[in-house]
Amino acid sequence: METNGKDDLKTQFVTREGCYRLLNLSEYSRPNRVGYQSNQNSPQVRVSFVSLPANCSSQQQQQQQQQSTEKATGLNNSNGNNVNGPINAITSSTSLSSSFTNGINGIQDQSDWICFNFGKELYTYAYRGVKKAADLSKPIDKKLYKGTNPSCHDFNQTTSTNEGAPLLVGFTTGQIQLIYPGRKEQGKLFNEERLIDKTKVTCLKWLPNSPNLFLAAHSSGHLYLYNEELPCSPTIPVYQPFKCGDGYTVVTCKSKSTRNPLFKWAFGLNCATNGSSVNSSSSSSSSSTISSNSSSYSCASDNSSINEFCFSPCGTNLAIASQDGFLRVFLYETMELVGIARSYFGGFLCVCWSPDSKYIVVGGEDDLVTVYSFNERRVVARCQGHRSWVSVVAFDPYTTLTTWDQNDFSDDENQYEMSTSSNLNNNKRHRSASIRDSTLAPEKLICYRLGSVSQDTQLCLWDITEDILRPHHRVRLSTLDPTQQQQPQHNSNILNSSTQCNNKTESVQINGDCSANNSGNGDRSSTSLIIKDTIDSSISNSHIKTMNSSNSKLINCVSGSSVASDNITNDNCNNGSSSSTKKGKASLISVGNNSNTNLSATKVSLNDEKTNNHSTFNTLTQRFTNFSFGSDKSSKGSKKNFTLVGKGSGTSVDQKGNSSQNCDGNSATSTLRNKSNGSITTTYDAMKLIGTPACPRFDECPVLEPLVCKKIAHERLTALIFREDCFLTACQDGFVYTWARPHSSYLATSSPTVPHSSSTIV
Amino acid sequence: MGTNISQLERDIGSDFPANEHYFGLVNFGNTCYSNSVLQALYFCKPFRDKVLEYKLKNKRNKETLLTCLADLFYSIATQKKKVGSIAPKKFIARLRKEKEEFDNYMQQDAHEFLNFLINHINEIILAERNQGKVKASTAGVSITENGSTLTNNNNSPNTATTEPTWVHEIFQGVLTSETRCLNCETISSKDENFFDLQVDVDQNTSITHCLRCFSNTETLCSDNKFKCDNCCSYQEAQKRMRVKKLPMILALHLKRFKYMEQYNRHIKVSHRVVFPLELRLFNTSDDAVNPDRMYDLTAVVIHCGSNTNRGHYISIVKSHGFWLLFDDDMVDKIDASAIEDFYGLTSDIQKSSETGYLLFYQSRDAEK
Repeated sequence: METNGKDDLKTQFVTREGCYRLLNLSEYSRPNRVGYQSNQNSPQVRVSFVSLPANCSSQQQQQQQQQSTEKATGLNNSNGNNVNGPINAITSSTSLSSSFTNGINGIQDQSDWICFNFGKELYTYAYRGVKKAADLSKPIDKKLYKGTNPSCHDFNQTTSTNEGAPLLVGFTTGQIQLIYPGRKEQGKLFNEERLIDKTKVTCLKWLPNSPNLFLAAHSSGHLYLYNEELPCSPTIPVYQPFKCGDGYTVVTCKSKSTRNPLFKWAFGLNCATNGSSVNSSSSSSSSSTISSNSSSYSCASDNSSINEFCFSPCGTNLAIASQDGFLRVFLYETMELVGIARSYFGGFLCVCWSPDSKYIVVGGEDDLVTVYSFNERRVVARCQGHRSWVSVVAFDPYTTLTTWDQNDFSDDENQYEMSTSSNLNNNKRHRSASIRDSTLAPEKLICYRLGSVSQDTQLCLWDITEDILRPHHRVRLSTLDPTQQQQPQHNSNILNSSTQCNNKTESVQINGDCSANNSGNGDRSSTSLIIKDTIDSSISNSHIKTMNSSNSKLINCVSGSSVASDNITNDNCNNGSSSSTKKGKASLISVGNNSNTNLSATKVSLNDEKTNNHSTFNTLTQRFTNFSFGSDKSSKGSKKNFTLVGKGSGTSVDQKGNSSQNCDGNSATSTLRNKSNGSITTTYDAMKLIGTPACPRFDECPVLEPLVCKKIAHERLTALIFREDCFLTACQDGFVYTWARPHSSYLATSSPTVPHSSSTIV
Repeated sequence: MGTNISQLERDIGSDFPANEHYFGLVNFGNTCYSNSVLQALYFCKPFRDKVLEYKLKNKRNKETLLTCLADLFYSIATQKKKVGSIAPKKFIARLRKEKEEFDNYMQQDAHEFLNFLINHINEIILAERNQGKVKASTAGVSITENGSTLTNNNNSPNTATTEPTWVHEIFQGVLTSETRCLNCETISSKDENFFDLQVDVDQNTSITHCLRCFSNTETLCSDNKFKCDNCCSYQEAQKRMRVKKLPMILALHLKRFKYMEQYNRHIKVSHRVVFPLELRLFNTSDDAVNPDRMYDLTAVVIHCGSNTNRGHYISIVKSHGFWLLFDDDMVDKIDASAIEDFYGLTSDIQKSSETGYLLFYQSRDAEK
C-alpha cells in the first residue's frame, strides 16, 4: 500500500521523441525555502507566464499612454486601508533585480516572467529558461496579502513591454487587483467592496489581444467582463438583461455611465433566480424562458462554480468548465451557446483548446481527460490513466504534429524546432504559433500531444491521433462490413494522389490570407488540411449519402458564422483585430467542420494504410484500454468493445453491440442539425444526457491509455505549461519545476553562459 | 448550545425546508460512532422513509432495535422545533443489550456499527415476516410495491429463497466474482450480495480509483490456489470482482485502519482520498443492469483523530441542497467547499486528521 516512498519520483522519462529531464537548477519557489509547509487548503498554486518583447518604440508609447490614463482615472489605491477590502499588501519589495535589467540591456533580446501564488503570497521572477539557473534571491516582485489569498492571475501579453507586463490577480474573497510587478505603485482594485461578487475568483484572463478587457470567473458560477480603465459600480450593481439562451443569461450594468462589470454571465439555475430577482420589470419574458429550462436542470443547482475558462487560439470561442460537470462553448462575440459536453460524473476542473481550435479537452472529477470535438459537437474520446482528479490539461503545441512518409522522427523534430524558432521571432504571441508548419510536407494526419497533471501527483502525456477522434469508427462499423473494408482504402489512395496537387495550390492561397491576418501557423496548417478534406469528400463515391447531408449542413453553418462575424463588427467591446479577419476565419472553420464529420470513412482507411506501412506510426497510434479479461474475451456479450490491436495489423476495431453505436452516430448528426437550427441542447439533465454525443456511455466512446504516466511529486500537481524547449509543472507545495525537452541544450551544471548562436530560447 | 442552534436557523434563513428537522444527538459517552451513522442514515431519504413507514405500520411490537430506531427517527421527524438536540437514550440502551461489543463506554468502529445495524434490522424484518406468516404475506407484498425502483430483483439467486426486504432493496448490491483457471481457461463466476463495499485507500487518489483497484484482477497462486471444478484440482487462477447489481444506496467503507504488527495495534491511514459529489462506477460487470447509474453523495461519516481508540466521529449530510455538519448534539451549516477538509492528508507525517470514513452515495433515480 505504501507505494509512495520518497525515492520513486521520476526525474526523467522517455517518449518517442527522446528523454525529458527535470532541471534541478531551474526550480522556482519561494526565496527562503523552509521545510515542508502544509498548503493543503490554500488555493491551487497556479503559474502565469509572459514573454516580454524586445525593445520596441511603439509599445513603449503604448505603455506610456497607459500610464497616463491610469493617472487620469485616478486609482483607488489609497494604501489599502479599507476595512471591507482586506487586500493589503504589507510587503511589496519591488526590487527590480539587477540581473534582470542586465538581461534586457545585454544579450537577451527577450525575457520571460513567471508568476505563481502560494498561500497568501504571490511571487514574480524572471524566468531564466533551461540554460540558466533560477535566481530565487531576487524576485521581481513579491507580495504577501492579509485576510485573503491570491487564487489566480494572468499577465497581459498584449500590453507587455520590455520593462514588464500588467498582472491581474484574483483573490479567494472575490476582489481583483491589477498590479505592475516590479513597480512601486499599488495598482487598481476591482470588486474591492465585494459588491459585485463575494465568492472566490477561480479564473481570470485577459481577452485575446485586448489591452484592457478581462474576464473573471467566480465560484458563485458567474463570469464578469471588466474593462480595467473603467471604475466599478459604487453600489451593488443593478443589472438588466442583455442576452438569454438555453440555461444561461447575460446581463449588463444598468447605469448611465459605463461601469464595471460590463457584462455578467450566469449559468444553470443561478441565472434564473438572479436574472429575475435583479430585474423583474423588463426581463419577465426572458426569465420565463429560463425557468422552463431550469426545471430540467436537476444537477448541481447548488454549486456550479466555474473552475476554468479558455479562449480558443483563434480567439472566437470561449470554453467554460464548471463544477456542475458541464463544458459550455460560446461564440464569444455573439454570446451564443454553440456546444456542450457533460462529464461522466463530477465537476469539470480544467479546460484547454487544441492549437488549431478544433478540439477541446477537459479534465475533471471523474479522473478522466475528455476530448470534445468542437467541429462535430461531441465527445470523441476519454483518456483514462489518472488516479485522482485531473487538475490541469494542456496541449503541447510543439509536439502536436503531423505524420508523413518519414520514418525518423527525431531528425524531423530538430528541423522543425529550428524552423519554428525563426518563425516565432516574428510572432509576439508565440503560443498561437502552434503546430508543425504544414507547408513543409504533405500531411496526412494530425497527432495531438496532450499533457495532464492531477491530484494523484502524476503527469500523463497522451498522443491523440485524429483517426481516433473521427467518427469513422462508428460510421464504418455500422455501414460497412469487414469484407468491404478494402474498397475505400483503394479509393482514398487514388484520392490522395490526386488531391495532393490540389492541396498545394489551395493551401498557398489560404496561407496568403492567414498570414495577412497574423493568425499564426496553427491556423494555416489546419486550413490546408480542411481543404484537402473537402476535396476528398467530393470525389469520394462511396459516401454519397453522407456527402449530401454535409452539403446542407455546410450551408447552414456558414451562414450562421457569417451572422456571427457581422455582430463582431457591431460589438463595441471588441477592439483591435479587424472584423474581416474574423469573418474569414469563421467561415473557413465551419467549412472544416462539416467536411471533417463526413469524411471519416475515407480518412480512416488512409490512416490504416499508414499504420501498416510505417512502424514508427504504430507507437503513435493510440492503444485503447483493453478491457477483455485476461487474454481472451471471457465475458460474453462484452460491452467494452474497444479492443484495438495496438501493434502492426492496422486499426481493426472489435465490434459488438453495434446497435447502440448506430444510434449514437445518428444522434451525433442530429445534434449538428439542431445546432444549425439554433438550439444546442434540449436538456441539462445528466440522466438524459447519458448516451448522447454530449456524454456518451462509457462503452460507446474510445478510451485511451496514456503514453506516459509518471509520478513526479509528493503533493498534488497544480499547473502544466508547455514551452518550446521545456515544460513546467507546479505543485501544491509551492514549487515550480522545469523539464527540459529532448535535444534542447539545457543547463547541466551551473555554468553561466551558453553560446548565443545555438539558442532556441525565445 | 442554544446560541449554536439559533445560529443554524439564521444560517439557513428563509430557505429552511418545510418538514425538515436538524437535530443533534446527545452523546452518552463515546457513542459518537452511533450518532454519526444514525445521522447519515436519517438523511438517506429512502431509508428514513422506510423506517418511518415501519413505525406507522407496526404500532406496538415488542421492543427491538428497529422499533427503537423507528421511534428515534419518528421523534426527530415530528419535533415542533426545527432545530435542537435529542437524546437517543432508548436506542443506545437497546443497542447495548443487543450486542455485547457495544455494551461499554469504549469507542467503537462506525463501520462495524453500520454493518451490524443494517444486518440486524434486516434480520428483524425477516423474523417478523416469518413469525406472522399468515398475515405478513400482505405486508410483504405492499412493501415491495412501494419500495422498488429497481428493475430486476427477481433473478438475483441469493435472494430468490426469501423475498427481498426493504433493507435489501435500499442497500443490497451484487458483486460477481469471475475466476479464470489458468490451466483450462474456464471461467466460473459467482455472485455475492453486499451491503457496502470496503475499499483500500492509496495516497493521493480518488474514491473512483480505489473502486477500480477493488476490481483489479488478482492472481491466485501458491498458497491461495483456486479449486477448479473443470480440472478437479487446485490451479493458479485470475480473479476479479465487479459490481453486477448497483444498489440504490451505495455505502463505501474506506479501510483507514490498518493493523500494524510492529505496533500490535491498528494505525490510522490518513491518506488523501478525494470523493466527488457525483459518482458513476467504472467497475461494473458486463451484464450489469444499469452500469451508468448516477450517484449523488448524500452523507459522509468522518473519523477525527489519530487512531481507532482515541478519536471522534462526526458526519456531514446533504439536505435540500445544502450541507450540514453533525457533531453529536451540535449541528452547523457548512459550505460545500469545506468538504475538501475531509479528504485526508497528503503528507505522511503522522498527525491527527479528519478523514472521510464511510461514504453514502444515493442513486439519482431513487428520488423519483
